[in-house]
Order: sequence, then structure tokens, then C-alpha cells
Amino acid sequence: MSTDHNDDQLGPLIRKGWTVSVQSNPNFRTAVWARIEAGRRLPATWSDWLKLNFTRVTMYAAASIALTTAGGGYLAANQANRDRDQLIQRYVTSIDPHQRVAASDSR
Amino acid sequence: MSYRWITAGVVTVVALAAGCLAYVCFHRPLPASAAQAHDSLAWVREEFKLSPEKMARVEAMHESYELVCADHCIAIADSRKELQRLRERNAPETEIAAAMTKAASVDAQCIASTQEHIREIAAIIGGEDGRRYLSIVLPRVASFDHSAPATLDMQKSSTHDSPRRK
Repeated sequence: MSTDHNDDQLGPLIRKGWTVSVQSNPNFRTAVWARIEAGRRLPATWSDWLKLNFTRVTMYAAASIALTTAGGGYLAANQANRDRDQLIQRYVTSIDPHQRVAASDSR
Repeated sequence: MSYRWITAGVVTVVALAAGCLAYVCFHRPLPASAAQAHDSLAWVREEFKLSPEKMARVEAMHESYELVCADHCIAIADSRKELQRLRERNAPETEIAAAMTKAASVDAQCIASTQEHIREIAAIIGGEDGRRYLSIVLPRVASFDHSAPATLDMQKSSTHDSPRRK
């Protein structure tokens, strides 16, 4: 196949049949400037970062503390109930001959 | 390290400290006397905070009842051993039935005596606390299947859910 690099018809043909439609993005500039601004505003210190994210950090901290406090309280109450139950059982065994016999049989 | 991770670490440490603090605040450790296995009155002492006079009466009654309870224990064990002996040597049914009746009678006597003691203690405690004492202690004694015929195997005749008998 021979190719004629000086085909005079090729240029007009391409210009006629090959059209590129460019969609303009009206927010492009705004978005670029917003990113540049965000980069400028990166906090230099931890306290600056905390100030910037105060609401999020506060909510996270409050939720975590509430959760662990409830967990600690639950564990303590559970332990206290078990201790109490053990003491009651010890008392009942000391006055109930059937339970004493059962306890001595199981030893 | 990013500020986000530093914050997460600090919040986690603070939250864990808060959890530990809550545990310490809500936890009521057993007093040293209650931790001793021989102090069977520890629960009454801790739960009802009785006056020294009332507590002294309860202690005196408990001490004297422990002797009665020990006698009952011997009677129960004897009646069951007798029943076992009769069964092992294939004694006549009439003898076994008589032994079972005797064992049931011993059981009933022990139950009545225990319940009477419990009601006496409740009367000493008195008032709402006395009723609370009864509501806690009586079901634990009564949960034993006393109405069932006495058998040699305590585990089968018992409806108690004590772990040591399982």
C-alpha cells in the first residue's frame, strides 16, 4: 500500500469529519482553588488540628468514654452480683442440712 | 504519625481510664471477713446492716442452730445409708418402704426445722428487711425437691442447680 504524505485532500477531510466536542466544566477553577486553599489551611500543630476537627473529635471521645464507662459499670455490677450470690449460697448451705449432706457427698 | 491517629490513641487511653474508673467506683469488694470461707453469716451482716444487738442475736441463734443442723445432717445421712444398705442386699419391699418412709420423715423434720429457724431469723431482722430475707432465703431452701422420695443419690433427688452437684 502506498501512502502519499502530501495528500492535499487529507487535511480538509479530517477537519470536516473529525469534530471534538469539548464540554466545559464551570466549576473547574473553583475546585482547583478550593484544593489550593485546603492545602494552605493544613494545621501546623496538633492543637490547630483539634480546633479544626473539634466537633468530630468531641463526638468520638464522648461515644468512646460512654461505652467504656458503661462497660466498666456493667462488669462491676456483675461481679458484685456474683459475690453476693456466693455469700447467700454459703449462708443457705450452713443452715440447710440437705445442702450440707449434698455438699459433703460431692466432696 | 498523622494527627488523626494521635487523637484516636489519646481518646482510646482516656476512654479506657474512664472504664477502669467506672469499674472501681461501681465495684464493691467483699470485706475481709466475708472473704473467709468459714464466715457463713457474712451475707446477713453485709446485706442488712443490723444493729449490734440484733446481729448478736442472729449470731447466737445461728450458732445454736448449726448444732441442730449437724444432727439433721447425721440423721439424713443415716436414713439414706440404711436405705442403700437395704437395696443393696435386696431386702423385702416392705422393709425398703419402711426405710423410705423413715427417710421422708427425717427429711420433713429437717425442712420444718430449717424453715422455722429461717422465720425466727426473719423476725429478728424485722420489717421490710425481714421479708426480703425470707424472700431470698426460703426459695433457696425450698428449691430442693423435698417432696420427692428420699433417694440415696442426692443428685437425682435434688432440684438444686448448685454447680458442685452437677
